[in-house]
Amino acid sequence: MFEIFFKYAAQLYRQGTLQLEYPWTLYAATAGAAAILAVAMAGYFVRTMPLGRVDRFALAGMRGVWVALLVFALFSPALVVTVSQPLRGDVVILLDDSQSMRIADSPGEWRGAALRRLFALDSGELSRALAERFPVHHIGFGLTAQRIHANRGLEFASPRSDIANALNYARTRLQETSLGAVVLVSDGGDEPSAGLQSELLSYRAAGISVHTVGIGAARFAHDVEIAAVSLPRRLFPGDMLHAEVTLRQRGAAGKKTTLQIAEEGILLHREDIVVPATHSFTVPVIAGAFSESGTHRLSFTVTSPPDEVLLENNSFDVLVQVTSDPVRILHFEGEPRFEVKFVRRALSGDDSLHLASLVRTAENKYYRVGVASAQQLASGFPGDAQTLFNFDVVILGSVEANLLSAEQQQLLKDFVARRGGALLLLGARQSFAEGGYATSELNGLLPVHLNATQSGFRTKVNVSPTTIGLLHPIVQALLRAAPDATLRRLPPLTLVNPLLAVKPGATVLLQGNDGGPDPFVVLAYQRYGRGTVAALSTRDTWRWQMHSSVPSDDLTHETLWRELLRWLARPVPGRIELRMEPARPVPGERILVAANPLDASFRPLVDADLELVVITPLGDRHTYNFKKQAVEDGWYSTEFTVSEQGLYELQATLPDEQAPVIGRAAIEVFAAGEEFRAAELNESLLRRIAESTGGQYFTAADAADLNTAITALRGDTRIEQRLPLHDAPALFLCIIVLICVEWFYRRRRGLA
Amino acid sequence: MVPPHAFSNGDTEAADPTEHEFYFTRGIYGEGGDDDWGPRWAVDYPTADNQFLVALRRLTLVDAFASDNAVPIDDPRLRDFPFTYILEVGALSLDEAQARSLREYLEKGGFLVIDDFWGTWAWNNLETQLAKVFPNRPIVDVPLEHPVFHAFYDVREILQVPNVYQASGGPTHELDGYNPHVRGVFDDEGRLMVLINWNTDLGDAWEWADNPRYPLRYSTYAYELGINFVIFAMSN
Repeated sequence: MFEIFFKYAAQLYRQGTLQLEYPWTLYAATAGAAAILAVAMAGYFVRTMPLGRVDRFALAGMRGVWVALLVFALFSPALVVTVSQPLRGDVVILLDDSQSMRIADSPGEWRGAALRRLFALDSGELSRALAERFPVHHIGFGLTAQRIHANRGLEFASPRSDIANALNYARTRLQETSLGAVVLVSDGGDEPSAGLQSELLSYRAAGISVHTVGIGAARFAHDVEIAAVSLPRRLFPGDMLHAEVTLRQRGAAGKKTTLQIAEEGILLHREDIVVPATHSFTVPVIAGAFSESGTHRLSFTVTSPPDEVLLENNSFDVLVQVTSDPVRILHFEGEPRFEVKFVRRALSGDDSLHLASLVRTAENKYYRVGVASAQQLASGFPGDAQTLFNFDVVILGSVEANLLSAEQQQLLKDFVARRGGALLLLGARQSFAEGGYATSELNGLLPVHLNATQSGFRTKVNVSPTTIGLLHPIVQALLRAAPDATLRRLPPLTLVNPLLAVKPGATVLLQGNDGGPDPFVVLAYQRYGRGTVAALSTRDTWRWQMHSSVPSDDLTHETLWRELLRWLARPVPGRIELRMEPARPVPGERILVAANPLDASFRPLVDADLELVVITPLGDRHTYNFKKQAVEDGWYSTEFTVSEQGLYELQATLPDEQAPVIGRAAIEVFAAGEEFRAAELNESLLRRIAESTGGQYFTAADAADLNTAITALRGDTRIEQRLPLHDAPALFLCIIVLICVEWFYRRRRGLA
Repeated sequence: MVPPHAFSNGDTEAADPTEHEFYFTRGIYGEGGDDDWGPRWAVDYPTADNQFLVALRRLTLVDAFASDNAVPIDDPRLRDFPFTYILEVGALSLDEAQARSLREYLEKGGFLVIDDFWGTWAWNNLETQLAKVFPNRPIVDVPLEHPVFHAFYDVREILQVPNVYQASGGPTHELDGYNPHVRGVFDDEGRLMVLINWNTDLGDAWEWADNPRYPLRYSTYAYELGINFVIFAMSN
């Protein structure tokens, strides 16, 4: 009802303000209006008019009011209100132009064909429909992003799809002010990254929705894929390679496939596998040995089952670093023991293992064997980080805890936790609980519980692998060294520290049994900080060398010590470790190399002069200087671009007082990157992108709904609106009613 | 060469090899012996062994079995004891099985100390016997710079240690063994496997160390050298 008379809702009258338009200044307009009003009313005060005083004022009042209303209408009254108005923006269609779009995993149509059918520049069904409603821009993306136009179409040749980069390109090139919505058409073949997360936050902040359209099959019909190969950080010359190959399968359960490992075309390993029913499974493999130091390029391949969708994911190339840098080992004994001699014998001839033995022969008297100089270890066990951290592995034999000062115990903790070294404790009359370790600082490092022991000697302990130990490289090497592939033929050993239980997180590889109900822990380990702590609880492994039942050509004892120490040393980091990103680059990509150089005490260097030399596949050498990273203390980074396929060798050099410290790494540039790894449609990633920006996810089948889902509204804007009131019905009604009443009054008083 | 205080005919029981880190193990060889002297392997036995162990246990941290431990050199139990001491090897005669057993013992890491034999005739016999064990390994002088002379004590000279009867004056040699030698047999890696004390008698010095008439110089030297042998054998 209000709106009928007053033209607009009462709410607008409450919010808005009244505004008049007049030709002159306010004062002139007011004076003019007053003059008109005065002239109009003056007629009733002419003396000749036969009216009483009351009638004159009543009639003049009525005329004055309707004339005033008329003047008010002539002044163009309007209600000024602030209202919001929606904005409509451009639509960008991001089209995946990478190699994985060539996969033919849907019946009758490969991925690229589906993408073209829906979103081709001029002929795509959805492109046309969207173009009728919005300005539409097509951008193809792979490693880089580019606008698509008549002369540049999609080739599906890019070795990687970088969704974050494509979203950034759309947002920055089109400017957020005109961008209304994004349609991302892809198989989702990209890894979620910090860059993508940041880009999605930018979209969310700008209120721009990213709608995603998934192309491809969420599950391949038939496929076997090498998903990953897990390798040790480094190998030493002569090492066998123990790798874990993770495979994925679709529709191949129960079928046979063959896993092969080759180096430069030479077959190193071949193994038939019956594919299990699980989607993902791991196969441990052993290959080698690798005699030459340097970088070895290995190709892992699986044979193809019938009707396989994708052959490109049947191979996986990895680089293996075989280092010529020897492992520096310190063996400390608090008393003379034959283990010292026999460990030295076991490692003799192994150039990768440099063993320094320090034996306390009497109070404050030490006998040193294998030291690098007359000064090394001359005053006993190291008391400073610089000396101790120079070793990679420390063996503590019959060393009572009190023989080590509180500072030395703390150093040992730091050696493992901060330096990343390996600590091995041996069974002896002065080790573990019997050596007072239960109440020492070192107790926390140990993989075994020292309170779960039995007192007394165990002199006839037969050693055998645990179930999990059977899969471990050390035990597998022991079994390979045994003629009958078991440890049963070996003589029993002695336990003076009968350990019964390990701590949570520790792994038992070898156990011992002397006929009692509970097995003893013989060899166990656990990670501690950056390093490893292992416990070998037998006192006399040398019996596996000397005993009359052990044939002369038996190498079990040598194998135990070599494999144990090599395994402990493999993950020990150096003073410079290099990280590369991406790990599997493609030609044209920039490689970010990060390093955290450490001083001799393995503390971060705050002002390091670090240099990187890159040797390209063609043998060219390029030098780059590291710069401090702003975000992480102690980290330095530099970048270079890889231009060709092949092996890039990296060498970071840090000047040092003694000799330059060198960190080495290698990276291989692949033609196809990771495009065909995990190449099934990644719905979860595409859904996440859509949901985190307020968009929707569509499959290729229901992509037609995309057109209705897109509003491409870029929010709204606040504008002032002027609502005219001169034609408001209430105004005219008032004027007419007043004129009629005046006329009727005049008639009653006998006027015309 | 002095008759043993406590005569032994070789019917000894080897000690439990698991209780201690070190056993001073005397190698038993040969059959019987002459009536006056008993079996040659047992010369100075067990007093010399036990007296040496007293000093070893007192002066070092070696967890040594406190008593003597005699084991036949071709007994499989010898493999439980990586340190073996034999003497009077002028009478040593190894058959093929014993030579093979000894070879395996040494190649596996065992350490053999030979002591108390004098003169050319005894040396020739030892060479002959060791040739059965190692047909192609030479016997060489061990230089004084070798770690075996410095493992615990710094031994800077090679003394001729006389038997108890010749220690109090006069010549210290027996037969034509005028000059003492420390010689050795090394393996392919340069590790010392056999240590030969020729024209000297460490055993007598240990045995008679508590005799006031036996010169302190000789017994001290014998203990120093013996302890060095043990420390070296356990560590190298």
